[in-house]
Amino acid sequence: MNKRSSKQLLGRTAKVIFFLLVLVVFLFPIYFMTITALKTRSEIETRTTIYPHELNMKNFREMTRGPWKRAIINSIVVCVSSVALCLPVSFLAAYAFSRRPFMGDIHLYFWLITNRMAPAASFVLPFFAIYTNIGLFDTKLGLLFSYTLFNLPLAIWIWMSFMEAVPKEIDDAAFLDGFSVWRYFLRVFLPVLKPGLITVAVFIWMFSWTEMMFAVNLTAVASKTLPAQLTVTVMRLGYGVDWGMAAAGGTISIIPGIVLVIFTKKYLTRGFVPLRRL
Amino acid sequence: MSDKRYLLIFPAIILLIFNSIFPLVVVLNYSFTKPFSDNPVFEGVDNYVDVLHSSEWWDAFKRNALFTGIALAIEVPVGLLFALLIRGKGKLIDIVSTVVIIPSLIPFVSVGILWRLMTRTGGPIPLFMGFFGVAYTLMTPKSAFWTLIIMDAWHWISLVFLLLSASLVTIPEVYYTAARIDGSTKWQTFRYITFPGIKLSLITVLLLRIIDSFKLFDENFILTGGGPGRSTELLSFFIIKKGIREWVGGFSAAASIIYLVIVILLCYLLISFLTKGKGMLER
Repeated sequence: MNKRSSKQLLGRTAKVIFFLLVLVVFLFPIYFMTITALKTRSEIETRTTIYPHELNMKNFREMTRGPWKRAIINSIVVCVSSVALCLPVSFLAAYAFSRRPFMGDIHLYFWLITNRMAPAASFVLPFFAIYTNIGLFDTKLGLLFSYTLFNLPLAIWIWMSFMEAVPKEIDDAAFLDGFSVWRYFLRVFLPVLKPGLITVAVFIWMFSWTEMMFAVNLTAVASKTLPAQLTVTVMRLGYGVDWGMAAAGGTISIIPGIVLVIFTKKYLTRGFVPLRRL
Repeated sequence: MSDKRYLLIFPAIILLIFNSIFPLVVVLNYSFTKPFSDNPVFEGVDNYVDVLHSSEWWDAFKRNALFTGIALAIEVPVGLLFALLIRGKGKLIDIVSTVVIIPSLIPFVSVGILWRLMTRTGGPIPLFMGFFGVAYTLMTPKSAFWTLIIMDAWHWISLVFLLLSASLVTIPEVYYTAARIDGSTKWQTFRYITFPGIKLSLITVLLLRIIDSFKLFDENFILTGGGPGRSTELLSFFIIKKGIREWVGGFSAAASIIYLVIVILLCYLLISFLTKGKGMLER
């Protein structure tokens, strides 16, 4: 008995040490970026310290004005409008796929999903050419449209998995009661699918928030998003990179992810389930 | 009712025609001509021949394949280990599992910045390595390549973890109880209960990570910018460099198409495996 409990204690200690190690490996880089944003430029350039010896709020204050403020606002606008556009559109399409079989639906669905998998790099050149011709270059509307290329398939994919779990008898009962399609959506279907709604919204938001390929190549000045602005800061050659500024922007870019993981963790896990079944 | 279903799917189709078909037509058109020149004439498959004869393309391709292989060999076993160890109830487990997920929600650019900060001359990682007597710098091709891999692992172990934990939960607890009563060893339990339960997720995550590693761009762009030399130039980076920076549109377009075909083939493999030929929509 004694031997067994000491072995258990050893196992538990090993586990706790392992957990702490994991925490350090995953949190330290984030912590280091945050404190770098709080250091003075000379401290960043001259030595590596694990806490700011002289607190400097200048970098974060810079985030609230000029190009940084614009970039943050642009990011939020593009993300919110992506959710607003893709959420209803993908909902309707997913409903059609899951409830109303039609000719060629399987091929259409496959094509939809491959859009999610297609490399963004292949689309940058044509988007660039098209957008400069029709005046969508360097506009938030252009970014919003280019993001739908990936957002829509992903959203439909996740919606599908949630809808498949809702028994079709509910539809029949509602329609027998004389519900119209729209009334059925609002009164019956959507309330059941609330977790799905949240999951899809979170995923569209996160994708739009983290996207960089289009944001960098399809914008110039006015509609740079936060990732694009960060890229400009880091890639500026010749002057030396202002790491304090880059770190402050990076820290801000992490906030939505952390908020989302804390409040919607169970939905996130759920959102990955469709990937298993397709 | 029968006409309404097309109405339902109409908005999605319109958006994707504008954002997917239309660009594809444009890029296909480019790939057969010399675009942005005074006289863009039809050149047949010249651009494709150029790409397939270009050593730069094949270098990028091989580098990308090597990168994918090594990154997966790290991410999948470690992610699986995490999923097996970090489960159950408890405050510490809650905190750890939340923290492990965070990297996958950080914008890719910020991951790049984070690792640039960590690996700068005199930064934490060179200092840490120096402590063990290893001189570390991002400036050599080998260490740049390995740093890219480690960064990718740091970033995407979270995805492997998330997916595998989600599928571990679906294995009924009674199986484990039965195994315990029958006195099976830990390895046997894993081999005959856990593994079959997560096999499908495991293969999904493998293929998903293969596809995503073939698309990697942002972190590559920020961390190393393809350098030193061309030692960390992956496929996406190569295409963007050719198309946007060096402005050889036809070549880049042809490379894009070849690249797209490779990724879609991988995707097709993924889907046909997962559905076991049953078709995409289960009815």
